Amino acid sequence: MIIDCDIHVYANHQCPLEPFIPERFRNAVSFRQGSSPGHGYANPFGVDRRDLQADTPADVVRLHLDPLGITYGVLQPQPGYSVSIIHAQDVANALAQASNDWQIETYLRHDPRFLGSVCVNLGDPRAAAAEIRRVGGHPQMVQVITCGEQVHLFGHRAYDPVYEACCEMGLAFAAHPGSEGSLNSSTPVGRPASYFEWHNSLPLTFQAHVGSLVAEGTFEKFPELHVVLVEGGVSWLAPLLWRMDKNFKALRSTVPWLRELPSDYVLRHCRFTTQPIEEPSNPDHLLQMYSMLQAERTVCFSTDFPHWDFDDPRRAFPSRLPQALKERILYDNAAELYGLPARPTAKVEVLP
Amino acid sequence: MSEAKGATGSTQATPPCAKMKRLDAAFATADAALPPRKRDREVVVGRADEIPLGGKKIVQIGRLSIGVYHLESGFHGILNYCPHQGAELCKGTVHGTYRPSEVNEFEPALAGRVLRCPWHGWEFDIVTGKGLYDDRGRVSTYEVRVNDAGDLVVWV
Repeated sequence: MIIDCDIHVYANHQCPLEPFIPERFRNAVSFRQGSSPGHGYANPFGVDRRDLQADTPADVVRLHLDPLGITYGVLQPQPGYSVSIIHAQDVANALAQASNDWQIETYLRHDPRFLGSVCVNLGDPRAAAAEIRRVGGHPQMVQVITCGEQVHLFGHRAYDPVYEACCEMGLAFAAHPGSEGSLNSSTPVGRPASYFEWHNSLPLTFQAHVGSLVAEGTFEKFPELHVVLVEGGVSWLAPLLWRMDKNFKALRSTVPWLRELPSDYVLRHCRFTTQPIEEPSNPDHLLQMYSMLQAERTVCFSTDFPHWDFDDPRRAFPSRLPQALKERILYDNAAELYGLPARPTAKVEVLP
Repeated sequence: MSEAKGATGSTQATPPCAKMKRLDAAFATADAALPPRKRDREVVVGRADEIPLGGKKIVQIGRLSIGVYHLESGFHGILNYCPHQGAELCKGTVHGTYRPSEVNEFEPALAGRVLRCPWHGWEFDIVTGKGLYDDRGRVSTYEVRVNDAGDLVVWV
């Protein structure tokens, strides 16, 4: 006689599970709203817009740059910007290199309006620095990019070689969310239950990174470094600055290498992109937020094309946003950050 | 990294052409240890031997509450009022602090002359009254002398 203690069986179309799922949950299950193990937070309705399909550089030009009059568009290559969460370092490094060569040979070659982001594996900082030096000199490469999800917060000294290479090559250092939950819980307490909840809490990661970059003295070590926080929203920033400045008055001696207020460092070194733009029921509240966080120097426009939470530059801003501020957000701030030509009528400000 | 560090300047010597950063300015004021501004009214507040080295006494002169501290450098008076939320500053603890340094280094500074507000922990240099958290905050300080009779005299 034999007892087999391990036989796998599968529900499938010939032997379906669906009839056994309570009827009211069938849609939720088919949309994977229960999320899945691992990262687990896919938009159940798809992450891309349903009104278009952009598969090639020509598609992006035709469907996005041309109709919206985009002067320059900074690419956030996928899966390149999230290779840092791959556990096999050699594979991650190889994928980063491939993503960079792919950008250069496809998008950057296709149209000078496309600007590239050097994808790096932050899990291997020396390899990341080498990759920055390998391709960072391409005239259309304007920044280094990685994901917000990491083994360490960005201020950790392990990443200093990366920032050193950024400064050497004149590139900003950018982070993009989306991988949160892959290595750690995406919140410090526990895992969100839904994509909705996960998406709402994404700014937590950026708040932690900003605090780390300041407290660990990254901007003292690398006074030319600029950090771009993409797609994390902006409205959380002002309260964080207030909190840091207040705590600093009592706790400065625990971080004695800080020679300025935390907010001084953030406002000088960090830039934030608009999308997903906050849409308070009273639009004036957003304008007040922009005032608090000095949007005229810190905020850069972004669409997140072609994702579902895309912002249209013609429609996204409150109508009461002053034209001069709107122009700084739409163009000047990013032009100064990336060293792009100034608008003919723009007041030029040289970044420190 | 070495290049980047060079650009920030070393801890002790700030390039004269560069605008001093906020905390460097605060510590420069404390380090200069200039005496309090001259005042013309002398008030005897007790005997010098009442306050041992490292000790303090809070005295009331009219509406002024002043902490008189006996430091290595002598007697120093500082207003017993925190500019933040009005706590009795001189009820805080006295210790040293760390001056602005290279990243990841700790350089002890102002040993025995840093007063930490008992409420929110803001640090002040007892000798100059300079707040050690930005380039602006400061508390009034008062000259204290010991006269020939051994009395503590505060100029207010």
